[in-house]
Order: sequence, then structure tokens, then C-alpha cells
Amino acid sequence: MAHVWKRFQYYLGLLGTFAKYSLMEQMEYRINFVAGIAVECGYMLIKLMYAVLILNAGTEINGLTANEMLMCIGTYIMVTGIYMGIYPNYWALPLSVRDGSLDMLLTKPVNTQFLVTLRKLDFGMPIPDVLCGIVLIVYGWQQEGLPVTFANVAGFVVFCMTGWFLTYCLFLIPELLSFWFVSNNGSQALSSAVFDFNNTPMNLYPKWLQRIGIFLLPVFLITNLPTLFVMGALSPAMIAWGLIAPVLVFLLQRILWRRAMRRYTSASG
Amino acid sequence: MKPAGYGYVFAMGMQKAMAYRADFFLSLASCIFPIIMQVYLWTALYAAGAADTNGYTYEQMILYTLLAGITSRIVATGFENDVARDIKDGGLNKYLIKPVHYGGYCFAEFAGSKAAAVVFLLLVAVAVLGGASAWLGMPFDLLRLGLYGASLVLAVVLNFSILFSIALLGFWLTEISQLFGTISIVIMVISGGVFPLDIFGPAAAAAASILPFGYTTQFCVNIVNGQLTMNQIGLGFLAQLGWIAVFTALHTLLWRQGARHYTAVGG
Repeated sequence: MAHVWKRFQYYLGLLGTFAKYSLMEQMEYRINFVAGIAVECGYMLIKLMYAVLILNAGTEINGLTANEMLMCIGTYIMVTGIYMGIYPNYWALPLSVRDGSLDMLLTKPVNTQFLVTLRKLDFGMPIPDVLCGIVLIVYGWQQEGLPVTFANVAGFVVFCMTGWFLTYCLFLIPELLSFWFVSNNGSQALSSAVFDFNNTPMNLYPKWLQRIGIFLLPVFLITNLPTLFVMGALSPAMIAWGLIAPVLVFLLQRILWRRAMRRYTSASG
Repeated sequence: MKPAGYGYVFAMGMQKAMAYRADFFLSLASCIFPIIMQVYLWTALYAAGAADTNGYTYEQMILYTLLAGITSRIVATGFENDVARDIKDGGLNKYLIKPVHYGGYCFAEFAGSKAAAVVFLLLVAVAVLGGASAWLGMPFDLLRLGLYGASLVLAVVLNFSILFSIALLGFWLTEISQLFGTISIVIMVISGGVFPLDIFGPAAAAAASILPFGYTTQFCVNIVNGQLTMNQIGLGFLAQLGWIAVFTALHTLLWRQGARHYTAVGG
């Protein structure tokens, strides 16, 4: 146990170092930093259009009030923002497989997946999303009059964290296809389109689609569970599934990661 | 370069787009998901009697959602990063010493790269209109379908002109690739590629009718879903032609000024 704690502290320290160097690099190219924020603001604009439509509707739809739906959209925007903080690594992975620059990372004495997926952290892109997401969540929570208890806040935070972890695992899988195929732009476009299903709460979709999004390809767990937990609308089984699913997806993703590593031929470089 | 030369560039663009066929079809398939999402969103909003859409009926909105997804994909660009890279890395040198018009070359390659996708998407659009006629009771008007096709041609040219003008800013700005990301998203939103802008109030509707962006997606879709009268369609075509003239003049001017400013580094 002491060994595990020591390793955890080591990786946490490493993450801090990555954060420091990433910030220093971004401050060197400040225009790119600002441009990153601008790009994310553009995407946020689209997500906010959904929020405006739902607020204009102002009525209960399929069991969710406008404010509760706003909380779901806010959670989606916030989780997306945190995910964008590590996205440069996802974007760079196919390129490093193609040009062989992954070789250098494989020689380092740390877990390769940790290094490949977390070594570059973006601080600009998450800013607008996280701020806007928090504003929408707080506004929806307050307007709906949901109780602000320790259990509710803790549950909300835990499900946001599992949602982010699920996003990390689930959307790494399409990037791993780059070990098998030369170009994976199509699978990237497809996975980002699937992620965007969270633009609206899952209650708006038919039951069959909800089941797919909860059990088969658990994208709906990412942003719906925190709000549903605070509303008291989650059954114990659903709470358990919300905690187990990220672990299962992580194990699946680890199997694929190992296969992808075995497949890597270090071409070029 | 003779017109036949641009034909070869067109064919080359087509071959490049089809080089990774699985990728090509997966990219096309990705446009289905936002459409599915919006169809269910609108269905839920209309069913709850809560859709504030400024005059769009449920049928018109569903048809708009289906066709806007297809139309925005047809008019979408993607060449702007290549232009910026050519200017930044000196790749432009090889075009300057050849008897080729750079803008024409880019357009031929861009049109070629889109040709296969456009044919496929147009077939989908016709199928959607057939389906809308059968299940939603929307009229299947061949005249409006023809006008939609004509408006798409002008929309592709207009979108190319807008993005080519922006890409030429690379002569003065060193790093603009991130800027393209922002501009593409904003253009997609204000062209009506996500939702029709009219539903966000009179100011948004006025902006859509004045600015050029609405004429790349919203105008085209509203021709077939019956939102526009024949007079409005005629005015829309004039606006498309007018904006094409404005942006062609702009990118011609930017090219002349930029080429003088350009220093052939690397390449």
C-alpha cells in the first residue's frame, strides 16, 4: 500500500512538472494561447444555443425542467473544458505514430500512457468552458431550488470526475486506431459527433437510444448523472453503474492500448 | 494555365479525397449524429408545445435540420490551412514561377476534393426530400429542388471566396491556423448550419439576411422547405451573386498586395 501511495505521489509530482512546463510554453506563444480560448469560445457558442432554446422553452420536457436541463448542459460544457485541457495529447498521438516520434516517449522510465496522454496540458481552452459551465450549473441549481447539502455537492463532484475519467478513456480509443490505420480523421470526427450527443440531456432521446448511451457506449453517463443525482432521480443500481462503467471502459481501453503498443512498428523517426 | 490544366488539378483533388476511403465515409457518417440529436430535440420541444421558432412548423424545422446538416457539409471548406502553410513555409514559390493562377488552382483542387462527397450528399438530400414528402407531407417541388441545386453552386463559390480572402491574411499574420478554427465555427453558426437564425429573434433574422454567411446555408435550405417566396428566392440569388463579387474583389486585392509583401523563404 505504501508503495502504491509513493507511486501515486510520484506521478502527481510528474503531472505538476508537466503543468509547469506546459504553462511556460504557452506563455511563450501568447497569441496562440488567446487563439485557443477564442476557438473554444466558438464551440461554446454552439452549446449555448442549445441552452438558449431550452431556456426559451421554459417548460418541463420528459421529466426534466428547463433549469435541470440547463444544469446538464452546464455539466457538459464544464467537462468538455477539462477534457480540452488534455486534448493536445490526443491530437498529437496519431501524428507521433505516423512520424515515429513516439519512440522517444517509449524510452522514458514512466508509464507510457500517462506520458502520452498527459504530458501537454492546455490552460487556455478550458477557461471559457469551465467558467461558463459553472455559471450554468449554479444558475440552474439555484433557480430549481435544489438543496445545497454536502451529500449533493459531493455526489455532483464525484460524478463530474467519473464523467471526465470516462471521457478520457472512451475518447482515447478512436485515437488508438492510428496504430492500425494511416489516417483516422474520420474516426475522430465520428467520436466527437458521438460526444456531442451530450449537447442536450438524455431525457430528450427515445428509450432505445438512452439504453445504448448508458450501457453500450456510455456517453450519456458523462454529463447526465451529476444532475440526476442532485435531483434524487438515480436508482442505487444506476449509481453503481455510474461508478463501475468508467472502470470497465478503462480496462477495455488498457487492453486496446497494450495491443496498439504491440502493433507499433516505429516507422520513420 | 489552360482550362484543361485546372481539370487535372480537379481530378487530383478528387483522388486525394478518395485516397483513404474508410476515413472519407466515416467523416460523412459523422454528420448523421448531430442531425439525429436535433431531430429528437425538436420533436421533444414541439411535443411539449414549447418550441418558440418564429413561424417554422414542425415539418419545416425537421426538414431544415436534415438539410442544414447536409448543406453545411457540402459548402464546408478546409483548404485555408493549406493556403496559410504555403504562404508561411514558402510552398507558394512553386506556384509563383508557373503559369498558374493560385486562386484558380486552389478552387480547382477544393472543388475536386469535394466532388465525390457532394454527389453522395446530394443523393442523400434528394432521398431526404422524398422521405419528407412521404412521411411529413412536405411538397416535393422539382422547381425548388432545382433552385436549391443552383443556390448550392453559388454557396460553394461564396464560401470559397470568403475563406480564401481570410486565408490570404497569412501574408501579414504569421500564425493564423487557430484563427481558422474560430472563424469556421462562427461561420457555421451564423450561416444557420446549426439552427435557423430567425428563431433567435428579429435582430438575428435581420443579420442573416444582410450578412453573407446566411447565403451559404440558411438561404439554400429555406428554398426547399418552403420558408421563402419566389420573390425572396430571387433576391437571395442576387445577394449571393453580390457577395461573391465583393469577396472576389477583396481576395483579388489581397492577393495583389500580399504577393508584393511576400518574401520567398524556404519552399
